[in-house]
This record gives sequence, C-alpha cells and structure tokens, in this order.
Amino acid sequence: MNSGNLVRYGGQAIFYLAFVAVVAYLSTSPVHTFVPSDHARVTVTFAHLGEREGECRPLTEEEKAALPPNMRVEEKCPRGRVPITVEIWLDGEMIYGDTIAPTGLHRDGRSYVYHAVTVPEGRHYLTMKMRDQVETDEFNYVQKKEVTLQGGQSLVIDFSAQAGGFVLRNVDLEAADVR
Amino acid sequence: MALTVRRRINHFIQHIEDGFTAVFGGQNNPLHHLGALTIFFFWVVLISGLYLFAFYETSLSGAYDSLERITYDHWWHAGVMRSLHRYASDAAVITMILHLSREFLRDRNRGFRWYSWFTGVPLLWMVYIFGITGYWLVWDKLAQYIALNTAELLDVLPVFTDPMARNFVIEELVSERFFTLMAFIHLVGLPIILVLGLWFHLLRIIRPKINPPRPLMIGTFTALMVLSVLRPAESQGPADLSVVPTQLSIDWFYLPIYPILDYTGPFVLWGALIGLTLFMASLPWLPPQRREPVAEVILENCTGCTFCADDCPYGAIDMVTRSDGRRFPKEAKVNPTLCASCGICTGSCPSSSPFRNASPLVSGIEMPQGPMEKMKQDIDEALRRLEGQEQKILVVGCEYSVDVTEIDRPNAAPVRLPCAGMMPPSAMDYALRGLGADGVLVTGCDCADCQFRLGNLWTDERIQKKRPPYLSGRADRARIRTLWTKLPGRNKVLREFDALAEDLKGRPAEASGSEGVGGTAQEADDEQR
Repeated sequence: MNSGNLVRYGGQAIFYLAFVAVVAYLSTSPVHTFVPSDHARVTVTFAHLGEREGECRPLTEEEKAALPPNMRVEEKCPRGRVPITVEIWLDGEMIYGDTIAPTGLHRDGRSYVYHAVTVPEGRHYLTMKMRDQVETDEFNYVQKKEVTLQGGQSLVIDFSAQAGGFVLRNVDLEAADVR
Repeated sequence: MALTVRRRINHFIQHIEDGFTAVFGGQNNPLHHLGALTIFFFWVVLISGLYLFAFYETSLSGAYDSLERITYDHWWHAGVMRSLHRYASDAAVITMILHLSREFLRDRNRGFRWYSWFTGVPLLWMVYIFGITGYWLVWDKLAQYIALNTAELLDVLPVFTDPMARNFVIEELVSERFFTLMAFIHLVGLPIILVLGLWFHLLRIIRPKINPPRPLMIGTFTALMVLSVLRPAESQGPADLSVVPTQLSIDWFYLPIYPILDYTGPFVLWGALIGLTLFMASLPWLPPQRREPVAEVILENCTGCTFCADDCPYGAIDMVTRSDGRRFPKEAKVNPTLCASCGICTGSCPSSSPFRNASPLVSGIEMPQGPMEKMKQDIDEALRRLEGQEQKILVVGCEYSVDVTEIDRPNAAPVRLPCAGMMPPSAMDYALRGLGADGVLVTGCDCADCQFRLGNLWTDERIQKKRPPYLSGRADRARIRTLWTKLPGRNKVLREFDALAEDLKGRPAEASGSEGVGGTAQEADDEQR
C-alpha cells in the first residue's frame, strides 16, 4: 500500500471511528440528574369539582310552564362552580398555594391541580388545606400528616371527596396523622 | 455584517472540507452528501424498526419485558437491530444538523432556495418527535421521565384542561390506550408524515441525491453495525411510577430539551422552541437575497431541443407548445420563481455556440447579466491579451470556487462565469480551434458539491460526450482538463494548470481563425446532434 492510499484509508478509518465515538458517547452521556438521589419528589395533583356558585331555588309555576314538558325540573341551580383554593405546607413552608378556577366556558368543570417540587429525603410534616365553598373564608378540608420520604420516592398528594379529603399515594401507610 | 461573518466561517470550514476531500475524494466526501446520508439513516431506522416490531409487544405491561428479551435473549439478531435502530437515529441527527448548518453557511437557504429550507424546518420537529416517541415505547425509567416531562411541557399549553402529567405519577392512571396511541404515532403515523415531509422538502429539486454513494453507505453502515455489536443499546430499568428517576443516561441527540426543561421550566422552553423555529423559518429572508435577473428565452434562437429543460438543476424550465408558429413543436419557458440564475441552461443551448456566424451572438436562452456575446468577447479578450506568448491556456472558473482571475501565470487567459456549467462545450472548442488556444482548463466547485448542484457534473459529461450538447469530436480532448475543487484549492488549480502546460509543450495549437457552423440556431442545433 503506497503512502497516498495509507493516508486515504487511514483517514477514512479515523473518520468512521470518530463518527461512531460521537454517536456512542452522546447517545447515553453525560448522565443527567433529574432528582438528586437524596431527594424525593412531591406532586400535588387532583381534579375537584367545587361547589355551585350559589344556592338552588325552586322554580315558580310560571317558569315550569315555560319549559318543555320533558325538561321540567323542580329547582334551578346556578351552573358555575366556585374556584378551589389549595395550600400545601411542608415543614412550615408553603410549597404550593393557589386558587384554581373551574374549567369550561361556563366555569362548570372541575378545577385541576398539578404541581411538583423536590424535597430532601427524611421525615416531613405536611399540612394540606383546601376550600371549595363560597360562603366561607376557612378551609373546609385541612389535614396534617407526618411522612418519611426516601431518596427517589415519588409522593403524590391526591384528593378524593369520597375518601374524605387528601389522599397520599406512593407512601407507606405509616404516614401518621398529626394533630 | 452577518453575511460577512458567514462567508468567513464558510471559508474556514471549506479548509476542513478540503481535508475530507483529500481522504474520501470529492465524489465520496461525506460532507457533500449530508442530506442523502440522513435519508439513508432513516431507511436503516425504518427497516430495523420493522424488524424489531416483530418481537416487540405493544403494551404497557409487555413492552419493557419484550425489549429485554430482544436485547439479551436474542441479542445476536434483534438486539443488534435494536442498537442499530438507536444509533442510526442518532447518526441521522448528526448529519441533519450538519446538513442545515452547511447549507446556511454556504448561503444556500435564501432566494430561490427558500422553499427547501422552509420545508426543512417542520422536518426537524418531526424527527425529534419521532425520536422522543421511540424512547417512550421502551417504558423504562427514561421513558417514564420522558412521559412525565413531555406531559408537563404540554400541560402548560392552553389546549389541555386535564393535566396529562397526573397520569404519569400514579400507576393506576397510566393508560394502556395512550401507550398504544404513542406506538401508533411512532410506528405508523410519523414515518408516513416524515416521508411526506421529505417529498415536500425535495419537491423543487431535480434529480435529488436520495442515496449517498455506495462507499459511504457501506462505510457508515459497517461502522454503526460494529458499534451495535460492541456497545448494545440497553434499557434503564422498568418504569415504576412510585419512584422518581434520579440519574438518567440521556440520548443528547434527541432528548436535550428535557434537561433544559428541568432547569428553565416549560414556559421558557416553549418560548425558546417557538422562537428558534420562527427564527429558522425566517432565515431565508434575513436578509432577503438580491435577486439576479433570471434566464430569458430568445424564441427566434430556440429550437425547442429540450437540453436546457433537461439540464436545469431546479426544474425552472418547462417545454411548452410553440407560440410563434415556427415548425418546432416546443419552446422553452422559464419559471422565474424557480430560476437560480446559474446559466447552466445557456451552457446547454446549442445556439450558444460561438462558432455561429451571428453577430452579436445570441443564444436561445440567455442570462441578461451575462449574455453569450459577452462570454465570447471575454474569451476573445482573454486570449488576445496573451498575443506573443508561446503558450495560451484558457482557464474558466466559477464564482464559488477558486478565483481564476488570480491565477498568476503569464500563459493563463482567465474567464470567470457564475457557474462552470454555463460554458457551452462549443466555447471550449472555439477557444482551441477558433482562437488557437493551446489548452482549456475548466475549474469550479468540488465534485458533488456544485453551488448549483449539477454544473460541474454536466460539464464533465458534455466533454465526455455523455450528455448533450456534446463537445465536438473535432476538439482534441487531451487539451481540455477539468478540476473541481473548493475555495482554498488555488494551489491545486495552479498545479493542474502547470501540468497541463507541461503536457502541451511541443504541441502546437491546432488551428486559428473562426470556423463558422452557420448563423442560424437550427444549424447550431444540427451540429450538436
């Protein structure tokens, strides 16, 4: 092999080697840290239908008569829902607090909450509050829990009115109520 | 200012590209085939993907396990295919980014080329979505991370009410149907859309380079295969929504937006993505390119031979029904929006022959800024200046490669054209037999890298009688040389010139004086046929 061919084929070999080296390296490296291994992720997420904006009232006879026979109902209720107000406190610090409007053109849909924070592993005290009523400034749902989070754990703070309030997911049931 | 910087960077990069040409040759220089290489990698991805689909289970519960079987139990065929699928996808991103960077630096994104650039921008989005959905289908920790972050990114758009991200933090909420939808998008929807997008991207290109040269295909494929065997692609543990992924091996070719999202938040990222997309899409008009006059058909000299329409690299010439009642069935018609003003059409027109006894020389298709009469006069003048020299060599060069007017040889008669393809072969013959030049050296852009795509190729083929209009059989081919090189190739041109001059020593010029073929376009056309 003459020197010209040596340069040509050697150069090509170096090119292909460099090409696959770039592919191989950048396809997996450098490693990205999403959440530090000594931290957990707390996600507040739920969908909740606030109470109606106002009281229902009985329909008058004239109002009933004005309705088609198949649509006559006894009372009329406002369609809109109240916004819900949520506050999540972790170790005395508010990690989430917002008032979320109901969805829909007529504001008659559910309010959706999604918020995630990263917290150090260890024992934490959670205070979860929600108000979904119109006539009070007080939170009608208030719960306090003590949780122990491992590094890499994903704690989800959900809400279920049927279950009586906030529900913690992906956490050991040893999460204790705190008074 | 920006254009000046761009030109300087381009000039610097051409030095690097010249190194690649030295190693691969111009014809096989990978940097000359970046678009075609991207398409080639896409085919590798498509075929390896189809193979993998035979072993892949399209379900949340089965996806990860099926890929584990592919990777470990069937490593020698399906596992290698999986790795090839990933690495070819990554390679496609490299060539794609290099392709668009190079076209930008070469100023090949403005003017009549706006369409190809503009239609390439959505392709970027498609390729990235293609890659992201592919990683989603593995349903490992990386997929979990991608799913969660993609959902968080999409949730800030005002089109979704229900936060999608909620579905990727609670195990029971992950939807099997949604996963199937993602599989459908990746396996069926996006490949079809991508092929359609490619079709649009290449719509205004005649004879697009769809496939790279075979040595490049073999070389890149072999390299990726070796990598696939030596470093198999692996999953990163099954997705588990009760645990948040901490450290992840990211594919930085496809997934760099996710770490950026982690640091900046969704609004900044959306702003950057939309801003970058709009910026990219508007680049053809930043600033608008000064439009050169486009080719003009001179009907009285057009015989409707179709050579110009066949040679135009951008399909800017159509052959339409004759409008002037002459006996020729067709005439050429220029589409001004597609015309690159390269002059390749004038080089292909038999009526461009300087041997014609027409004064002034008017071709069947002319560039208003550089008519054939001017080219003829330039050749006459350049060779006349060498009167008294023992040897006269006509050196023709294009505007995008070595500036032939800077060839400092006393026996060089330089003529510069917008593209080497603008020079009709009859003009080379004219210089040799008509004006008594000893030789002709035609130089221009590197092989497979012509600024106007095909100028150098057509020139070679015309000289070699592979493509009409042919160089006359009476012309001594030993006196004609072509050299295709890059901007920094001045020394190569000088070496080639000196070599030609040396070869021609002792060989007197063939003839002197004009040898007319007749004044009409028809006579010139007959001469070519």
